[in-house]
Amino acid sequence: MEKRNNLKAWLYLAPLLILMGIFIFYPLINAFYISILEEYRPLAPGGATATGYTLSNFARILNDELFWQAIKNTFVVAFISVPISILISLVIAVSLNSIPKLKALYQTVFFLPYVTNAIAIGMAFAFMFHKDYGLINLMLSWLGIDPVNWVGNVATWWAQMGALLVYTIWGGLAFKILVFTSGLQNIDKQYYDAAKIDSASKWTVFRRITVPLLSPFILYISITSMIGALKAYRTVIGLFGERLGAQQNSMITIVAYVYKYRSAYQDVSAISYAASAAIILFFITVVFSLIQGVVSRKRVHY
Amino acid sequence: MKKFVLLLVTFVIALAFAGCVNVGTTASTTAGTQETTTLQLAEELPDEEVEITFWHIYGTDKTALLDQMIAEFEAMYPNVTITDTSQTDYNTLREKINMGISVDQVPTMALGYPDHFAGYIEADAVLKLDDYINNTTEYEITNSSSSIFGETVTIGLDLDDFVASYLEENSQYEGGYYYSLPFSKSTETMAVNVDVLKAHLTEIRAAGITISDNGFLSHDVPLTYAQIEALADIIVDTNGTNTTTSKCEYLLNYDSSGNMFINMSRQWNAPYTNTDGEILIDNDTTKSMLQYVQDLFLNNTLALPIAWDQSYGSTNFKYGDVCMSVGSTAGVNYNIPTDADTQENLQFGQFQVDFVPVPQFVATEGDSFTVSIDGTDSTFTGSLSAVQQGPNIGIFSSASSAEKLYAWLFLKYLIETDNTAKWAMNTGYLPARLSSYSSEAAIDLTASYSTNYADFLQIAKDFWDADGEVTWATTDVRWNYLYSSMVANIAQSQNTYYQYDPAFAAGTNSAGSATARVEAGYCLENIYIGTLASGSSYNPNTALNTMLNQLTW
Amino acid sequence: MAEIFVENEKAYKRRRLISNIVTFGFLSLVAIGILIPFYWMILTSLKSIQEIESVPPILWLNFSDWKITNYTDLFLTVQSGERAGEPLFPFFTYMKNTVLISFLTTLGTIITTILAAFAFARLNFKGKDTLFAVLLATMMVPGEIFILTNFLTINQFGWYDILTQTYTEAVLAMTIPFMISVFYVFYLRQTFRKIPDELYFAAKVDGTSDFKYLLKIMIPIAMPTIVTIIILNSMGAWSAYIWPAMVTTQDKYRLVSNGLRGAFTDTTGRTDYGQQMAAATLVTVPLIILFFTFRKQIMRGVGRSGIKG
Repeated sequence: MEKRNNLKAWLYLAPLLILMGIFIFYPLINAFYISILEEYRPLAPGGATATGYTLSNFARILNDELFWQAIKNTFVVAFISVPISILISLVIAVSLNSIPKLKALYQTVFFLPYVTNAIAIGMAFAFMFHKDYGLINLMLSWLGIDPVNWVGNVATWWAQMGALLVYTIWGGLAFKILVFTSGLQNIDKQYYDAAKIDSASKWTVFRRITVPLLSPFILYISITSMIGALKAYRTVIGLFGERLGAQQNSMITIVAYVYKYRSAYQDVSAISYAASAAIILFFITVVFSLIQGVVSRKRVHY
Repeated sequence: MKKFVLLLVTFVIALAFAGCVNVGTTASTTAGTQETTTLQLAEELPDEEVEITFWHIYGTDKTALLDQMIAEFEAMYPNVTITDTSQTDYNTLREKINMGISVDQVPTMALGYPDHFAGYIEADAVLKLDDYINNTTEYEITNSSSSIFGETVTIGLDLDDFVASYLEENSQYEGGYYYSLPFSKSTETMAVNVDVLKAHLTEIRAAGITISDNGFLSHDVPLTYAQIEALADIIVDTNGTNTTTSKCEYLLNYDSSGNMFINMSRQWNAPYTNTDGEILIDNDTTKSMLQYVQDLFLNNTLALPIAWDQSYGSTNFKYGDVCMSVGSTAGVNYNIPTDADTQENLQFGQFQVDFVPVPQFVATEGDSFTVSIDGTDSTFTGSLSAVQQGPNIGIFSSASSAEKLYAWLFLKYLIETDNTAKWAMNTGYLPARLSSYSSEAAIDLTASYSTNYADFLQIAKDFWDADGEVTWATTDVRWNYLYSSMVANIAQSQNTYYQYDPAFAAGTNSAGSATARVEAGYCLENIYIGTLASGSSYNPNTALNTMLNQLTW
Repeated sequence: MAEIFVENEKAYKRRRLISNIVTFGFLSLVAIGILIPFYWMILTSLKSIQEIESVPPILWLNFSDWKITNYTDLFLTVQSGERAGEPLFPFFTYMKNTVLISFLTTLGTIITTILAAFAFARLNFKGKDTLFAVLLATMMVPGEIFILTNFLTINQFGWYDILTQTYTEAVLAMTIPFMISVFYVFYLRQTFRKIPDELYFAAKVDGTSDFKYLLKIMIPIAMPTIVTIIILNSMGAWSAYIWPAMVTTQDKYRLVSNGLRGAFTDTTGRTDYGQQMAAATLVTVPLIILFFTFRKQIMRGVGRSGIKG
């Protein structure tokens, strides 16, 4: 990467950027714009109207207790589910890589969450977390632990969060395993052969060879799954339905908050408010991406 | 940091070009600004080719009858083509129309709930139907290829034939004009476990409640809540359903907590919302009502499906956890225990189910009633009320005059007496027209069974007249339609006091009526959860405050 | 010497056996957890409404209790009326549309992704890091916020007209906005960056153009990643719901997901989950076949030579 070649680079980027310009940046700018409009009425006869510009939508959101509940839930989901799911999928990918037989079968099984119908997943988890007949409580009973009310109407916040975390981690496994297994293929066997001669323990090999060599993929997965976790919404709907929690809104997330004003209010009039919430979310991610970028620059081996 | 500033500047510049919003204009409520000039219809029926698009949400398996009506209409007016499309669900349907309005891409006519139309009216996009309803123009069909060649068609519509509250619902908008007409209507009725009641005949009669020897309650006179409370004393065992004593764990389940809130508000004359979009729930009557409901929750007289972590109570009614269940007329058959159920789940076995009107607080409109709230008696003036639900059809104003005229004729055709009766029998909805109840038009319900609406209603009447001891063969097709027929009869007995829910679209500072209904439901659910969990922060006051916060800002 | 060698061999074998058992045990345990929802989908697809409602849930159905009609009903045809002879649930039409949309979107996505990932991984230009950060940030905005504006844009392009929309226009409207994925640009960039610079410089010395280098060297080396992207992206069309419903004017243009959502709901809004799951299962089968077919490509090791660690 010695010399700069601006024109050529932009040429390669052109197809992506043109499409993004039309379908992502333009609507995004529009959302910015809408978020600062006062009394925006998109369907007023004779064309959209607004009475002026305002930041009151943002002020209102920041003063809304529910929004802070959403922030709290979202952050808890993100900070707990991301590291755990990365670790689990890494271990699975490495284990998959080390088995001589039945690889194809296991790989296909681990891919299934990706193609299983979302409604079916929701139903299956509802069953697994059922207070009286669920699998999870059955397994806890083997360990002598009293049954927990996970998602029932009087479930505690942590019980609900526990269920949501399990669901979230489960849902993200397929993709992560796929990325890590395909990443493992890119690692030269020589490293492992060398390790074998040194008779390094499996743990050492994992820590000293696998993780560093996979670091670009780990970075990729941690950034994208952090973004995915901050965008958590479907999981909440899948587990708790439109009530967004065992109690109303108890598991609300930022995106759920946005959608609440976008679609539950079913009206384009509430769109300014929804847009403001989305913009706030956007800035939260920008901050996260920047932090992650800075941190990773030092840690990733290319 | 420099880059970030640069980026921000770029965004600000881009903002200047974004959208084409007319900023600075005063937001005015311009609803109903359509000119009120009298409609001038052409001398002759237009003979140009006309294409009409009709958007609804019915799946392919339900559109067979609709398709048939379309084919009949197209045969009557050969120059007209009607394209009907399902937009899969109400949200998509509404959003597509909302978005389409700004770029003039709306169908000629569409199905929708009143709050949908309230939104379209604000954008001045729906046709005022009064000009057609009151029009006296008559046309002779001169097209020889028409199936009604030589006949005369009238434009006007006789509104006297429609259920009064449906008309009120469709003309609740600003100016009192009709912007839509009723199409698929439903209401709520109450399912009753007859076997359990029959086991307590003497006690029930001692409480002054009319009941037949076989356990059937009155089908014309609704139970009052005083009677409901008396029944709870007789039938409920809070420790759990007990088949030896024939007692249920709960007395009465209410499927839709939103409907329960709205309907009870109506019955208590407690302000709820109005068509201007004002949220009026912050008042003493509503608070008393919620406290009363909480008392009933606490002693298992009332239950909501969340008691079993369900969306509907019908399953737990079948299973015997609850002995009565209020639900939509469209979901009748979910309440009936059959061979297909897992038999060990049916605590009372395959018991006899009956349907009766939803409970009321008073026997006649305007009577007063006394309830005990936290041990203190309070008296309120009551009203009779049963919810009415279901979509209407409206026509959009952007269509050409010929399109509007034919769309109107098609709408009129869809809701004419016989078609209304057919649609009702075919879908389980209720007829919007009174004359449909005596319609002679028969419809094939199965390949071998054809009936008209009057005979359809007669099925339940015969059953009730025999106090459930009919001598029909087990293969008699009437068994298949018994329960649909029951609710159709009950619905008819309730149709003098149907109440509609005021419809309004969301404003910039408050939510629309659909959201109000959802939040009303959550309010009751929160109170219910509050009664279940000692640690819950919800009581009638906090639940009401939460609801207010969600609806206004 | 020889004895020691045998001892070591035995110990090694035993150790490997134990480690294999542990590995298989762990994988099998996770696999069961993964399989439950999938099993639940198939089980539900064979249940009647009453069985689905049953509490406690029915965990196993004997063959004689299978409700096969959930499947066969999907292929019934309308008996009478204007649509007589047409299928009740136009499964094959939806499938055909979905496959087409999936194919075109993926094709478009892979082209824009490869080109952009190449620029980000290999070329040097001003503002690269900033641009990349901005692209990443856009991933965060919930898609529904874009719908209104994009709908108006599609309309501007003339692809959405209630009366005249053609199949081609509907397909364009459903595919073009989705031929972009920052998610995959990022993924592929990570793979591209692992290809050693020496290869590039060697190619430069030979006078190979950048484009040819991308085509002949980088793409083949990154094939596992590219195939992964192809597979994952093609799944997208299976779950896309809101947008296809928004921009299509006719039922026959729609996708499987729209059909799944709309077709099995009764007038009260309750869903016949059995039939819905039957349709969902049928829809899943081609995806599993697709994965199984390309699994080798994804998992195949890249050519050993020349890959930097």
